[in-house]
Amino acid sequence: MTVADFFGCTFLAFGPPFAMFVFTIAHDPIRIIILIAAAFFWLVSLLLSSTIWFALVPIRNYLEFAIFYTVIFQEVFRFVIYKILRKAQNGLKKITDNSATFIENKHILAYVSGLGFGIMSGAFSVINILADSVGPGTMGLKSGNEMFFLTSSCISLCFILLNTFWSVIFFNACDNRNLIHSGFVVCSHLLASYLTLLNGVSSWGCIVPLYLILIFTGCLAFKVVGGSIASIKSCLSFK
Amino acid sequence: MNTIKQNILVFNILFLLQFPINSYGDRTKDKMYEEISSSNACFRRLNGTHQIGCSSKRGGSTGVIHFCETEKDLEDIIVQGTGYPYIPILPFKLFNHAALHLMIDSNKISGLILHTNNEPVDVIKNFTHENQCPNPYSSIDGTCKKESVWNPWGTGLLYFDIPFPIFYVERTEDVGLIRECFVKFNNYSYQEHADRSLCSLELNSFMYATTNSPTCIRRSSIVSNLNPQKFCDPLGDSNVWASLHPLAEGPKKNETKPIKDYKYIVIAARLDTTSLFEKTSGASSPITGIVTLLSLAKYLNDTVRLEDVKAGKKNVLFFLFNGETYDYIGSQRMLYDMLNGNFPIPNANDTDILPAIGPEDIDLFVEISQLGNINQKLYVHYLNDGKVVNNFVNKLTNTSSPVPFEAVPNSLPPASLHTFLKNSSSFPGLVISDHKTFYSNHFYNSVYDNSSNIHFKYYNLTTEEISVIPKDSIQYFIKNITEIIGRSIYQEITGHGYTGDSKVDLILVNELLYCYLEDPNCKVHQAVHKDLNLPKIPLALYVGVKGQEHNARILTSLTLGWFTGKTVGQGNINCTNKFRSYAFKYYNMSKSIYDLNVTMCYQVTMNATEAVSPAFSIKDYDWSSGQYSSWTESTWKELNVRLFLKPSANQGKMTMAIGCISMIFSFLLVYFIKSRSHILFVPPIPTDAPTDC
Repeated sequence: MTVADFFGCTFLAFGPPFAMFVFTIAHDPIRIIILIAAAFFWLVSLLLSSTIWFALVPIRNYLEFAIFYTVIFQEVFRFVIYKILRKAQNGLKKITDNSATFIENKHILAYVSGLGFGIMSGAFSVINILADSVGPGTMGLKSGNEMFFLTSSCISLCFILLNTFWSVIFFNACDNRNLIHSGFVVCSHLLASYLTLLNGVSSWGCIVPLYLILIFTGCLAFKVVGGSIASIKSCLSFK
Repeated sequence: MNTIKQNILVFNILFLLQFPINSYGDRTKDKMYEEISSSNACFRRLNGTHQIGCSSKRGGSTGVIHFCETEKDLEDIIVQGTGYPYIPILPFKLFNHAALHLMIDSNKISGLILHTNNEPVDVIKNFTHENQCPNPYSSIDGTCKKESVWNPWGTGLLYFDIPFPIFYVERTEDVGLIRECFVKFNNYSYQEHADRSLCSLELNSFMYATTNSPTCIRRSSIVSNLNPQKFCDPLGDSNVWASLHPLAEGPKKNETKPIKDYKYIVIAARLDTTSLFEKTSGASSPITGIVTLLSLAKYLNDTVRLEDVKAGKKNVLFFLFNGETYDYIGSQRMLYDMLNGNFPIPNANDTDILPAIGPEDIDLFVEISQLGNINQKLYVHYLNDGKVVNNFVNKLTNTSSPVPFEAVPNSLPPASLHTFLKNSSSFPGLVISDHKTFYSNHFYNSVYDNSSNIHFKYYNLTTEEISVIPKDSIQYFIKNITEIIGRSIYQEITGHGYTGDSKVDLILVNELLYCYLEDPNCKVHQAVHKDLNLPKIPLALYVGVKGQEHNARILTSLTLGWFTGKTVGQGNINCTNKFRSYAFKYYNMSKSIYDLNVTMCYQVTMNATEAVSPAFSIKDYDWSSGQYSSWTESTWKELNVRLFLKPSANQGKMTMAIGCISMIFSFLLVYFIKSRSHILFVPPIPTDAPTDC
């Protein structure tokens, strides 16, 4: 029955991002290009992080340190994307058909690049585990428990969504020079990454705070893009 | 496992391909599976009509572990268990016909693990999966009667087609690991096995060959199949032979002249054993035979002079037949070569290097069989009581010696002699063994036929301390019989009894046994093969397939060459560069086991001939005829055993449900948000996009 495990975990981790891709990105070629460009920049940050990890042989086994500089690299590259997209904005204007919504709502750019960032990071975090979930066995023989695959998928989903929200907040913070928001992004990224270390000890102790952070970040992002309680109400009222 | 660690892992793996650094590289897989490294697989062999042995499913058979201490445990789990298929873990003593049939018939068993349970040999009493009549199809009819079989404890399971994989786990730590896992996860409420995660094993020993040898050879041939994959290989290796004194005169100006009109006394032994698994032991059969033959070669080399051979026109040939366990592969091929004039070299009649030797040139064939039972007397079996045989039997039985010999006429245990007698019933041959009507070895062709079966204890001694070795040891036993047989052969050649004082070196016998039973890096092997570095486990004595490196055969042939060779000066680099031919080879070897560092140049008559059944070279051979051995061994990709935790079906269902629900829900939610995004997100006040921030 481990094939069921594999598909269940895949649907859990990549179902929501896939839905987002299908409904909000797939219809516009420019968005797809930006998504892939963002994913590429995440890969570049991974390359640099792993080069450093590989070079620093003595502290290779101290993940606490590795987490710190990998998060910093990711945030630096988020800023790089931001700069590039802002520079490319005038060029993009010329080649898009429906430039109106695209350019007018600058949050769309942030959302698309954030999702690209997130999908790639989610893929890398869970794909090794998913590959192993197909085999005849499950976790729990030496360490961990049977819920390991499920919790890993949950964590991976959490990071995909978090990256999307972080990009939205971060881009806006850069536009408005809001240091508090950009600081929040870096700090919450660090915090969330360190929380994953708890997965080995207790999976609930890891997942619950991660999803609390996700909800808070989501609310903040929602507020940043102009949402409010009133807009939710009017949205739900179906007039 | 956390995100970052996984990120890093991918690159770690990429880098590890280039730099063998031991670093933080534990994949999830490493935490899920535990390799059982000391496992020995049972594999599949085929003959002209059948397949025997075991095979797993492609990709491995999995099953839930169940430890069985008694037969009842096995029956209980088959009846009560709900988490099947199961893989029972049985101690060797429970592995028999009844248990195997119970498992096969239940259809709830997907594999089997056997272990020794740390029981000493004397508790087990007997363990042999050979037939009760070994080699039934290639032996002479009537030599193994139903009422008196040679191997009465034989279960015949070695020749059984078992539908699931079987592994033998050697190390007790590995068995302990499996037991620990079993106790933790499986060993309670068997009826609820289906509802929880269970400790399981994956046995991977998928065999490519199937049905029988001709089928598999046809499938492997390029003519009938464009995919040139080999599914099976013929069993076989090389026979080793050497002559006591050279078969050719010379060399003069690199030319040798064959000595043609001699008769030969052959001393033969078998070189191989088998077992249900990859690992073989073979102390009583064939090691006692090999060691006796080797020390006999040394003893005769010391006593019989070249002039004696010339005067009597009788030379001694030493034959070590390989693959005898599988329908006498080695001797069948040797006889086939002899009858076609291809022994000792191809087309021996047309080439002027060595004399052609046929079965009619053999005056006497003395075969040394199992000699592991030191408490009894020895038995000389023979079918044909011609003059020569009778004479020789009298010589053996009449000598007053520490070991009495008894003649057993009209009897022949399984031996290479069968092959020669089948060809000509007047062939003068006899077999010397430690049993009269049935084997004294209760572990024939099994992993338990080890040094404790023949009560061997190694003594690391110098010549002065020789008295430490007790008189009732296997070393003394072999020394004594070597001297008796040696003197009888001396008398056979020269016509008069031996009067010299040459004795068999007890230390050498001790060392030889040690070489085969415990450490292949022993002094004798060091002497014949410089810079030897083998693992300290006994050499495998399974015949294997053609083309495999067969260390036991190579080292044995060098030892035989060393014992029968003669020195031609100091050892140096020029020695091995001397002109080589079929008649002579040159090796740098130590002077003796006491002077390993003194190297001499040896002229050696030892040679090897192919020991692959003629069935594989005869065109349009009738495979069902049974004339020649038709054994092949299946090929395989990997043999391994992994321990893991099998998830319950419920867990898979739950994960699937959670995954599907979250996916469907997210599709609905995203569609909803997207369709109402103009209300949900208040459009920002249009400003010019900042170009710098």
